[in-house]
Amino acid sequence: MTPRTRRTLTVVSLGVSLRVVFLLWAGELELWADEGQYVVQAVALERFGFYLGSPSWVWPPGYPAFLAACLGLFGELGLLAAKLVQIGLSAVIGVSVMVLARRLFSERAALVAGVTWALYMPLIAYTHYLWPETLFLVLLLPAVCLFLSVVGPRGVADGAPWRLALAGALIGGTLYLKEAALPLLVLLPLILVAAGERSMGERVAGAAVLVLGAVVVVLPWTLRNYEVYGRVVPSGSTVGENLWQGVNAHYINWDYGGVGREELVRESRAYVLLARPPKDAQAWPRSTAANTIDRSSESSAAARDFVRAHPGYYLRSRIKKLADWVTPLSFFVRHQRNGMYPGSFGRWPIRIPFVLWSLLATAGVLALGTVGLFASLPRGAPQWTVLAVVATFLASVAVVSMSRYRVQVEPFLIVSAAGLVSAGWPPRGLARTLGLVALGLLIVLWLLNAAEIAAVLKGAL
Amino acid sequence: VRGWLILLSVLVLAEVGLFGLWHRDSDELRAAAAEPVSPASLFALHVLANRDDTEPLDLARVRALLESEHAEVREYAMTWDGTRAAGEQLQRAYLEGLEDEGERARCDFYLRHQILRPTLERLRAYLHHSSVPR
Repeated sequence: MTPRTRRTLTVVSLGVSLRVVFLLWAGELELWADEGQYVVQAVALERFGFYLGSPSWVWPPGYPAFLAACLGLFGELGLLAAKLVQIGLSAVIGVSVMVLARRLFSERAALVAGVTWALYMPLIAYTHYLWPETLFLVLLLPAVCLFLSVVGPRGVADGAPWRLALAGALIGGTLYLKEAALPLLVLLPLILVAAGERSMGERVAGAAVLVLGAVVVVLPWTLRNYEVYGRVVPSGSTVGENLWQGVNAHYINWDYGGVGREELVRESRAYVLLARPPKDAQAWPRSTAANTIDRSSESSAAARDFVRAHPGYYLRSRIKKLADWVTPLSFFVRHQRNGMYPGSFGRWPIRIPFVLWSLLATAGVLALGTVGLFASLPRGAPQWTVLAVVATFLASVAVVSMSRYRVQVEPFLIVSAAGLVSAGWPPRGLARTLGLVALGLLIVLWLLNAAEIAAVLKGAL
Repeated sequence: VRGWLILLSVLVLAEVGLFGLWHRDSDELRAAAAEPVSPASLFALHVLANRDDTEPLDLARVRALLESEHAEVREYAMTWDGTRAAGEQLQRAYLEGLEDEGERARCDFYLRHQILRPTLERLRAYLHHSSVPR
């Protein structure tokens, strides 16, 4: 075993062990919001053999199927088993983070990134929640690693097609969990075509292999959707419902779920300045079309009309959504605020260092990672690839926002932060200027939400 | 690259072909979606998710409902997507079927806000005691 492999295994083992300890400390968590929905779908699937839909949206079946498999195998301990499987699989995230940092930066950066991942409280917390974020990252990160192994520095010349096919297949796998990665099937092929030294024909063929790899995996579900709805739905259909929630004459941020959510926001300056609907804005109702997909389309049309009628409100409320997306809060802090940890984690004063740890780790990774995106990542295809991933998930703020929609980006921010820390501050130039501007913007967004962040934090402590 | 393109294209065509072979009559399915469904069946599923009171879940009642109308529940689930009206029918039936005013108000709140909070205890109890055939 090489020292590098030993180092990777040590760091990843530390991360996995911590996640097991924190699972035990968490206690039996009450299911929250979508978690309950996933479990209900899993029970229906496992006990009755059908996929229980929803009248308002279409979720892809991957996560309920995963929970159903755990319930089928382990019965009443199925949900605990699901969390343990998530913890085990999170090792893939740890390894991928280190591989990415090594490929993009250096061995030192890989170590920094690995240790940061191991100790990063928000990602630790998702391994003991029943949301699909952990499994999503388990598929997405290796896909990006494979893609960068073809287009990135020290990219391989041979064996590229299978890497692209596998990367595509993994992205296709993410589409069984969430539809959010769909834009990557446009952005990554574009990067592939634009980058590299091979002939244009080879690059286009490589891009086609990537897309076909994803299509092969997701097509059975797409065809099922076509049969059920009579519409082409590649993965899921949640946009209409999310537009109703996020582009309407009301404001919501699910990071603030629980008692006193409205009070928490109503007095906030950021809400009053940016997100409070104008007096003449009427909330548009949910569509009542018979078909779920048509309902989503009608909701999208209603949202478009709303934006046309209130363009100023839409734009300024997006600033609030962006501030919500980059908040140093996380579901872990929210859960603590709502007293949802029945185990040692939730007891005062034990919870205090963990809440602070989570807040500081998130803030540090966001700040350093954002600077690193512009100032440290290798120019060209590697930087465009990581920026494409960030942009894909950042785009959610056009619709709705909360910290959970940022989780998919956090491992990449850990990697770019590790690159910045290990290589040091970049010399003067455009990259450094862009990094500083991005950091300045981030700080402004934090200050905008400062009152709400402080209130949530006060409740959590 | 050419070999991979051919392989993946063949796989895609094979999937579409298999879909064509096994394709059910979607028009018929969608027509079935417009048919009224038994509120009792829907109640049986939703009671698992939506009840949030201190009393134990009436497992015997849920099991009886599921066993007597299992086929109908399955049929409904296959055609769930086009049936917003059925969802509303469920809600009405659910609320009208509840005699206790406090519970009715509570369930109405949960249904309106789509808050599904099955407790682990309830889920475990259900999994442990259920004899519903798969």
